[in-house]
Amino acid sequence: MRFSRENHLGTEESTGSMLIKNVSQQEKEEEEDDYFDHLPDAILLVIFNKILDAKSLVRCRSVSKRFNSLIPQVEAIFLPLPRKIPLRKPTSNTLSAKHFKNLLNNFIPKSIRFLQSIVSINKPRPKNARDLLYYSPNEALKGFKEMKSLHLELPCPSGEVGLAGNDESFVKWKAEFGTNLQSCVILGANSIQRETLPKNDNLNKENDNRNCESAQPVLADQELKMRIVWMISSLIAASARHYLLKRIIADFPDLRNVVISDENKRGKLYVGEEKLAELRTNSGNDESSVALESSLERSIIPDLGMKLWYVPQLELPGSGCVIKGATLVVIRPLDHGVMNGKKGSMDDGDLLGDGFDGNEEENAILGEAVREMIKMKKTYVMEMTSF
Amino acid sequence: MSSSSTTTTTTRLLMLKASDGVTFEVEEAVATKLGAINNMVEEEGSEDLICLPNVNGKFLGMVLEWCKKHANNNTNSDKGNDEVNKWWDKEFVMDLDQNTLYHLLMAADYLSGTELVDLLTEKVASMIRGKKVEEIRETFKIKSDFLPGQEEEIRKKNSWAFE
Repeated sequence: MRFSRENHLGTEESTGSMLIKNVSQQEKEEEEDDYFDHLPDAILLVIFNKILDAKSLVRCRSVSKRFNSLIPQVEAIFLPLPRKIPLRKPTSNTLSAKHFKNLLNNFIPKSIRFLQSIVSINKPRPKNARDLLYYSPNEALKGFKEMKSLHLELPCPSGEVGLAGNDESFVKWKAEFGTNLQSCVILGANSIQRETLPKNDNLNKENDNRNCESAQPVLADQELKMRIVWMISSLIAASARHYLLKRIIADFPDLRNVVISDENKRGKLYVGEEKLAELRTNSGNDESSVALESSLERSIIPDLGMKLWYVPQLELPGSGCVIKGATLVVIRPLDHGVMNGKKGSMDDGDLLGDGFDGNEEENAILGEAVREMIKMKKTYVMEMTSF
Repeated sequence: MSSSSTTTTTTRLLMLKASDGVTFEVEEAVATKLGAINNMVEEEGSEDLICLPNVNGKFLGMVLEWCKKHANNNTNSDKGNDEVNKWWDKEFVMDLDQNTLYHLLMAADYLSGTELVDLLTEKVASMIRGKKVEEIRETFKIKSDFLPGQEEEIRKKNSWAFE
């Protein structure tokens, strides 16, 4: 048989009838076939590596022998930390329940919860939030010994709020770790509102000028306190995740990059290949700090230098938003060399690009906010001792 | 160089012959979206007829349809093209039944159509994600080959995923 290209690619109707014969014959022959058993292992593995969701992958193990033998070779995993049904008695495989619950409480800093409960009136926290139990990540991930890339998502039992609502304070952070904290960027605001910006350009320009050039905006005591709470609670959350990370990597020698985020997309910890290797070599070297960390249930934060930008009202024409009390904080360890040596927005710019957790729309708003704020003069430079 | 000579040199036509004898005449720029064909064209140079004994005409036709869309969209390189390709890819895989999906995937893999393999494997992955074991077996017509007790043991060891 010989058809012209028009017949096949252009007008389906003309070839349809001729091809249907072939196809229906074929379908009859293969009706009883298990298509997936004909796919080569390599393709099945490509498919499994795209599933990401750990729960779906573990379930696949009980589909067939072949699935069961291939799943442990999967390299990329996304694990929302699974909730444990309370009726079951804890098995020896899980972390001590009490211990792990404490660990989880550290991920969601109490001070932020406290703040949230003040600012968000309509979102009561579930009463039993503290009684929820979770499997340990190591338990849930034990079947993925060859895992190279892990994204762990921690639960947020309290009714926290994100960017969606109005009139709510808002904090996001991202932190990069190696053996210690490398950098932490925090973006906070009293509120983010979607607004049709007034067209009166002159008026806006005057406001803008007042914000960024003439008098430096000053934070009232109460406002400054709130920002310090944001910083400390973000750092505590990040260091608790880092502590958890150290317990995870011990069981997974091939792991090359890890992201630990949370259900509400508030904070994101990232450790890349190089830093992870560094962490493996150094972990457990200093016995006194190991003891201290296990009592704190978080990693120790080194001496820090912080730069803070504050804009009372930041208008973002690009995303049509107005941010009130916009605050950007860039935190690095003091011995990092950056604070002393090559200060400058170029260097911070590398950090800031993107990478806050959240959907595209949120990231567009946050990205624009960060770009605008970094152009302005810093409001405060602070140092903080190790804690 | 006259304009007519450029057009004739850039639109070389290849004949692709499927396992069932169906042949397709396609522009080189379209067919070389497939790695395997790209290699053959480079190796054999002047040979314009390429036999593909492992691909049935129906599925070769679909693979080439995909290539053609992507080759066309890539030539008028605007920034909106990514969006167009994405939208078109979504349409392309939306209503594929398992049989077609399987054969297309095999064809795309055989022809080294990396991007198409990506698209199709992602589609299969999305059919597994979030599903129960029985649903996965049913969707892909897989029969359990475990000995009695083996499956229960797997479930017991990984109880968190089955709650």
